[in-house]
Amino acid sequence: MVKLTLEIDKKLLTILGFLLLLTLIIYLPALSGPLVFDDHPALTTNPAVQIGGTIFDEWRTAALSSESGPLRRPISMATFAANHAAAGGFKLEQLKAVNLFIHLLCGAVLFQLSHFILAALGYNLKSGRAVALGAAAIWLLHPLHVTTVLYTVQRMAQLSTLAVLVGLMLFSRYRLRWLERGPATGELPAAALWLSLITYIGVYCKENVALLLWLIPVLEITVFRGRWRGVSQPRLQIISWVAALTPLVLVGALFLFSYDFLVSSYAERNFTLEQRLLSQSRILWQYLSWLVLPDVGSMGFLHDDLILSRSLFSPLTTALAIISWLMILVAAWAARERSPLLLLGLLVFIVGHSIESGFLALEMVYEHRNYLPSIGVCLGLSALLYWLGDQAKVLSSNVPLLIFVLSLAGLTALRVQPWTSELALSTAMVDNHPESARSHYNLAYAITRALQHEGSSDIRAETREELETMAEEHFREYAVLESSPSGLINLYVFASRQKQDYPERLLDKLPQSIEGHRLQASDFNVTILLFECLQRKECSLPGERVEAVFDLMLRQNPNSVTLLVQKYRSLKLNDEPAARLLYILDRARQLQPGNYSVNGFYLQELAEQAKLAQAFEMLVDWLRIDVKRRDLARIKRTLAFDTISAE
Amino acid sequence: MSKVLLQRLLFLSAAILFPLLAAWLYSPGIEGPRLLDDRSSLGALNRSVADLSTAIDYTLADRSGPLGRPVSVASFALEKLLLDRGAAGHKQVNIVLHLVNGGLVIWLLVLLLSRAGYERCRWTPLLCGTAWLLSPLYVSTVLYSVQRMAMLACFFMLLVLIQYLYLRRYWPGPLRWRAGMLMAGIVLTFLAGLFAKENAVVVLPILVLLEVLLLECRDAEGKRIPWLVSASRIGLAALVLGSLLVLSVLWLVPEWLPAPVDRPFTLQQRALTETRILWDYLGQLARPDVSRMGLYHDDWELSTGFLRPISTLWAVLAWCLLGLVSLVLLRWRQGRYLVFAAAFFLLGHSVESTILPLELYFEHRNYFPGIGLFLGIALLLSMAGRKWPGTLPPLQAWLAVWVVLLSLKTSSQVQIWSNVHLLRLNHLAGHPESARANLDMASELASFGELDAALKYSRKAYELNPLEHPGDRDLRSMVLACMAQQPMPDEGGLFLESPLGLLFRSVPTAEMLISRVIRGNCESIPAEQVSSLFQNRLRTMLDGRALPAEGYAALAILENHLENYELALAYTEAYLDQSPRSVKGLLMKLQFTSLLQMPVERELVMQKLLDMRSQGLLSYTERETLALYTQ
Repeated sequence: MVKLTLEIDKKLLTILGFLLLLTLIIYLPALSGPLVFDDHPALTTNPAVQIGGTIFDEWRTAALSSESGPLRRPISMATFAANHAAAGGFKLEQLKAVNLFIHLLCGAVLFQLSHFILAALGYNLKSGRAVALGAAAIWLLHPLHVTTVLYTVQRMAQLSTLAVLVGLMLFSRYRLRWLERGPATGELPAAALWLSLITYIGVYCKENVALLLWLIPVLEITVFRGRWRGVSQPRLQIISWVAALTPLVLVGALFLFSYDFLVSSYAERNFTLEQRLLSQSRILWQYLSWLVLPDVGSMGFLHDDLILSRSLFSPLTTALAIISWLMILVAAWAARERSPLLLLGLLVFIVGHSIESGFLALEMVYEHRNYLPSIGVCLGLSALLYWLGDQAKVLSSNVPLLIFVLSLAGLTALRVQPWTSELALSTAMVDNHPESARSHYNLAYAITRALQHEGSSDIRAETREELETMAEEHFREYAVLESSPSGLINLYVFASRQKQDYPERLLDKLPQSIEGHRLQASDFNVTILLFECLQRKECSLPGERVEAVFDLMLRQNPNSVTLLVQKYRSLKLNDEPAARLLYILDRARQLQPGNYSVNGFYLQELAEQAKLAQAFEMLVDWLRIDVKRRDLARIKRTLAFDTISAE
Repeated sequence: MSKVLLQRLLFLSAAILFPLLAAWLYSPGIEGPRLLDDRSSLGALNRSVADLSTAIDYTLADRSGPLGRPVSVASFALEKLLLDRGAAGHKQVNIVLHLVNGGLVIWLLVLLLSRAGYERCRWTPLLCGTAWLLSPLYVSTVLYSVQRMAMLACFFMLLVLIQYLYLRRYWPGPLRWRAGMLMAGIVLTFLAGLFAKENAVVVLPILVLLEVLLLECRDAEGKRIPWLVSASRIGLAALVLGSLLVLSVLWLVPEWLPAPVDRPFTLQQRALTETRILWDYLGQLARPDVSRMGLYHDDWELSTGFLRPISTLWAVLAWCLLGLVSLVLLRWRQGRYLVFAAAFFLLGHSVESTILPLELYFEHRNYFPGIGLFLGIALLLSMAGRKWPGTLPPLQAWLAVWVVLLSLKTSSQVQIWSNVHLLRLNHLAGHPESARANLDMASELASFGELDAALKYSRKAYELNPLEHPGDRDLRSMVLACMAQQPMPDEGGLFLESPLGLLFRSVPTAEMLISRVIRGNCESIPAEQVSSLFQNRLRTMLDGRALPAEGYAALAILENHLENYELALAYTEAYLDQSPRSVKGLLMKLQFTSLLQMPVERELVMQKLLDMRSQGLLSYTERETLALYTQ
């Protein structure tokens, strides 16, 4: 039997090319699809990233303009800035085409990585090539990745996955060489330098590239198994185990010494740390089932209809999930010699999820979190299907694999369809998740946007009325399901805009809603909507009532800068005394001295009140706080003195 | 296309692209302001240079440094004649000069590495040279017009080194004409460097060390050249003995050295402080903290002893350790290359960062010495690449990442330097305890009418600067009031704190006040009020030296404006009392005696000026002015 070699011949390249082309064709209809959710704060409402590109420093400030992650993901942001500079604006097709290109690139690298892994595991030429191609095909055409590829801002996850894949590929390539002949002079430091460089660059795409440093020992334990210069090296095995277990020890130490900090980070979530960890055990099974048996009907963008695990037995599936995870891991470990890809797939899946599906106070479920963790599962699945085909001895060993890949392609093509318009996407979200409050909100919002759209005047009066009723129903559904201030305020704003005669009554229940609810990001953000409505005079809430709303919310969350800013803006509409306005902003500045918006409003307020000395001193403070000089362009614009001196 | 050709093309493209990138990055800096010495050194450029004669006159009249820096001044005069774009033009030329210097640094690094046996790794010197080109520490050199002096000196020093390395390829050897040309070139460029800025002299000891440590006094065939060995040894001995002598005098008989004038430190304290500052420079080159960068470092803590602050001790020990490591490294050829890189940095700083009583800290002082660090990095990478094959590409990739990070920091620094207000505020943000930064803030606030706040910062600046004369603070208060278009603050209290004998010391401040008053930029403070204030205060100070000489000259100009020619003449006499051979003073006296119709005095002063003219002591402009009276 011919052993798998590292050479890639033309035939293999042709098949890979065909696979990439098929992926491209499937995704093509959705390239003009809408921007959604976090695309807006990251791109459309982020002026810093919308650059012309002619000034060098624009690129720097654009790269630092994201609020996401501790490192702000500058490389990913720079790619968005490049999109904007190249097209003179955000063109949907271009944005998504870049995402699709990265997806194809990841697929190609995954093929190469699988190829190396299978060669290390001693696969023969025929099966090795088929399984490697199958892994890439499953991953490329999997419907679960639609929400990563077509959700523009998830380019961050894509780039980080690409970095991890390249890192693992590089490691495998070096390791394959070292298996039999050991490293040549300088190869070890060279490998270390490359891998550290990839990690360094990668974490600036998205922080979870740090997982590369955990996945390398996983690969060593499951695939290369301490084999060095043709013999098994126990010392290398020990080092691998130590490297693999170190992150667990660190997490354990974090729980031991910083538990209170971890708990406090959940202040703005409607679940606790324990509830999140328990729920994730079930969610991980859900992800795995989506990967193995994709049910596009249950997939979706938002999963806020998920039932939380409040304890081990509530719901009972929580305990079952935990037990079954332990069992499957033990089984995979026991079968590691016969089926190393099973253990590899599971460990890559779990390690890959360890950041976003672990103890961090993030939202519960997102499909894009599977983009990296799924690589191991896809490889394992491909090997399993090939083995089944081989065992069945019907036609060709590739048949089960081919059927699965074609099914995936069909499902993905189906899933891509709603991504052609915001309305279609929101409708699909509600259809798939009728209990998801946010899906209802999105649909309602999408309808109102469609009604306000430029060409909306062509809509017949009857249809318009129907759509308005539909939007109202979904806003109501949202308010009922969410039972939060956000629901009520959204409904109030909508009703006001539709000039209904009952809107103020809707706010009667607001005090109870605020007091009986842990305010979340959506509640804070809805105050921006309320302000905009007041500013456009579409909402006619009296000043005292507006202030009462903000005071109620601030009583519960006195440290919310968003609330303070929106309170300031709303009060300013009513010509409140300048000293009061400055007091509110002062409080916000104390909470977040480097906040871009707060400082902007504060400066504007000082300039309007002709307190120039204070304005200058505030700018000095701002420059001092803004160590990374993210706001430099804004500060410089302020100091274009033709404007300020005029003021 | 062959692989080699492709690689060469790639290298060439990068070599062109990187300087272009630097040009793009620096371009917003063209909009930046004139600063400090730009005004004093280049302020007269527009007034004085109109044609070639005035340009020569202007060039020879400059008194910056002991040699007058005529090459640098000539570059400004020539620029005025050819471009005439004011501050923007200065900065454009500086940026172009920086790019040229960057190219020369890359060239020098390629040559040095090639002589060190690393001729194949060209990407390393290219990237290290680009790192030098894009280092944020040099923004305050490139965008500070008057620092063209340092840049030009560096330009000529680089040419000296490059020519010397080429010379040593041919010489000793048969191609004598080429060697002769190079030798002449070296001498000429060295002199040009010296007349651009005096610290170009440091290139001489660097040449000695280059010969001893890198070229090893060998010819093209690898044989030692005996006379070159002897010459190098003499040079090295002179260098070591000179350093030891300076150190001995500094620590054993410091009283032999002149005490620094107008400086808050002794020379010993300066030398100790510089041991810390040099480490800080290295840190700012390798891992820049741009928030601290800028023009003002007068808040730098002085080392008053080895233990005060304790970081002095660590700095001195670290330098000693580096010295010991260098001694050990001298045993190996590769080690000697590294010692040369370290010596490049230290010798480059030997003029401005040792015992001369200059200010403690300036970023532009690293413009030439900094090359030593980048050379050291290039050498280390090349050595690692040779010892561990395969590590060079990832090391170069890391180097490229470092260059990108440097460029991002430089870019933000250029933005700050492109707006005068932003620069001032940023100085204060980075150096809240700097007297100069506080003064800038005071001016900024005053220019927007915020006099009270301006006076607050002015007072803080006074408190931070123990050497400031209280009269200067009061003079500044008047300028600030003038800028803010507000009445003179507390006129009765002004100059009351001035010690007996000297009303104020800062002539530029007095000149600024009087210039504003005369030009009508000070509506809230009439010229008569300023005149009477000084008359009153000077009346109580009967000594004719109650002001610096130029202070009297400034007052004479004010009185001339008010047509109080008798008072103007009295001030001029006081001026001439302190500077009897000042042409400016004599011309002023000629003017006032003419206006007051005092023929005897007029004739005397005229005769004196004619004598001076015949001795060639008058500049072109001064001769022209005198001609108006002789006609």
